[in-house]
Amino acid sequence: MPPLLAADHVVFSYDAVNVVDDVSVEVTPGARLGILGPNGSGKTTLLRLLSGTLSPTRGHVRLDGAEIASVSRTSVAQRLAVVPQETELAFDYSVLEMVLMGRYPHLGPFEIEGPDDLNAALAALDATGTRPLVDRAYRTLSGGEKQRVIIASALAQLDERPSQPPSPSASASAEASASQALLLLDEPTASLDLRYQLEIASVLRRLHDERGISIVLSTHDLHFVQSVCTEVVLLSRGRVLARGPIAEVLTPALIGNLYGVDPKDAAPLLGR
Amino acid sequence: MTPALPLRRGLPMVTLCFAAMVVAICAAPFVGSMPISFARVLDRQIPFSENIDAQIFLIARLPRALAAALVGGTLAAAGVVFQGLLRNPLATPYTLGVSAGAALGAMIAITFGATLPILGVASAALVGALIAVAVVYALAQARHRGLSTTVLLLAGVTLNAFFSALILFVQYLGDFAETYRALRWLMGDLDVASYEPMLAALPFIVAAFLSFAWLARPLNLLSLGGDAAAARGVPVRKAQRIAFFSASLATGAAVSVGGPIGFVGIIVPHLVRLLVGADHRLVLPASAFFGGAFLVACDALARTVIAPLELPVGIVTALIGGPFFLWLLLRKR
Repeated sequence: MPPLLAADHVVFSYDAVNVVDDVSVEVTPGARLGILGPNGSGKTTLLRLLSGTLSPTRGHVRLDGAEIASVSRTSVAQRLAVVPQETELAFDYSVLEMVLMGRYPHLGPFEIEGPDDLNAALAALDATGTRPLVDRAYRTLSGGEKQRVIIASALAQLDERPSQPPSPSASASAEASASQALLLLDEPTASLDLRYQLEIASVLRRLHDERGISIVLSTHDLHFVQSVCTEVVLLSRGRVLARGPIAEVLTPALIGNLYGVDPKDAAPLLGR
Repeated sequence: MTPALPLRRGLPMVTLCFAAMVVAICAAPFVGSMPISFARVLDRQIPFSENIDAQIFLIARLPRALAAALVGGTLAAAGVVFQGLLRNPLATPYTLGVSAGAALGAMIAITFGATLPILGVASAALVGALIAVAVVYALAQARHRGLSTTVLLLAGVTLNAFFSALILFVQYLGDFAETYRALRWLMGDLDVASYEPMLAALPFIVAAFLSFAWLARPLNLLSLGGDAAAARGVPVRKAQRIAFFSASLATGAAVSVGGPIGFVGIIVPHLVRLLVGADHRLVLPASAFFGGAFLVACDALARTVIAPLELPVGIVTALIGGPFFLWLLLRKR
């Protein structure tokens, strides 16, 4: 299967330091890819490169085989949504307003949201279990609720429904388009306690299983990556240390190497 | 139960703000040290040259009410755009140094106007504002590819301080009468006796409001942060550039008409957000209308509170705005 999204030998340097150094990553349809690494290993930069908000110094990032920089921002946004580590707002938007903002790439410059957009937003709230919060001010939510609302906003962004023309193969094309959607999350549980971590993990698994959304997430949390992802890339000082299926890569030796700890100490963290 | 679209819920409030502005513009000309009668103003039996009431209404007070509405609406809307651009609810139209540039231009025209009559005070203010905009933009662009809002803020604050020093220097060179005029201008005054300064400012203001209409939705997303907005498809750098230039031009044009009238650009957006929420598609038009109504009312107050003397309207807005601002700071978590 051709990859939906691929980084091809990307390098990103900042002040002559290679923050991301010759990294290649492929995201195939339905993938659940974890980017695991200690703080400062270049995870966030790699995700920004993959989402096209940052341009690589060298190398290529391709969405469906096309250079991502050459695809219009709105076309990228209809396919690929990003959940940042934390989102703090300058103004007091309600949860519904926040989720409706995800509809931006589906609307013309002066177009306002219609019933289809509202339905997309409500469906996204349902999918993340945040429907009861719909009228709350985003600022008043807890960390875990905020993160789920941002995921809902990303889902509303990926929802293609209004622009689907009715066709004989409507159901088939809807399925195909669902599996084309990509969700990129940057340390989604970094500031959350265990209960919220488990909640986010179950939301993400459900999005993958029910909608076929491909997931790429960065984290330094071994438990979290095991509970969501099937493949993992280990990133150390901007370079790929190892990659492959979870079971093969998450070994005491590699994890010890990645975090600079004794493999004997790393073993219990992997449940072995 | 399906909730209504938030945008729809706010529309009645925007309409109400518009109505408030229209009522204020129509009512304000009847307020003043010299009472005029509505019936006489409209009385076609009396020739205009003999109808003092109609003359006061049309020549003295209506232009002033319209100028107040234009300036108030523009400053309030520009305030909203600056707050959105800088992601800072405490930003004002004057934060980035536009008004200091305008003030310097006006000070030079007032002080040296007799010897070098090149530009009127209003035009000089506009030129000064444009120069300040160019300097701040060049500074903010210099080290970054996009517009860094941090650098924008720092450049604006520094430029404000530097221009203030130049303003004092120019004032020091002026004589007693010039300094008095300069000081009065700095207080912010709508003592316009004609439509001309308004007409000169109007093209800039119209162009700015057309940009604001496009900006409203991108500004919503920019308040999530630049990366988050870009990930949702917002052309971030373009939106930032348009926001900066349109709001700066609008501010410069408004200041050229009324001087640096304070607090309108911050009180009004905050009050309006309490009424319609945070969506810029509601906050922008509602602030423009409410800002117009607010400044017309403040000006009517300024003209009557110590009649027959007239206070500069900037003093009234500052007297209302100062305590309001404090209240706003204290009620924040």
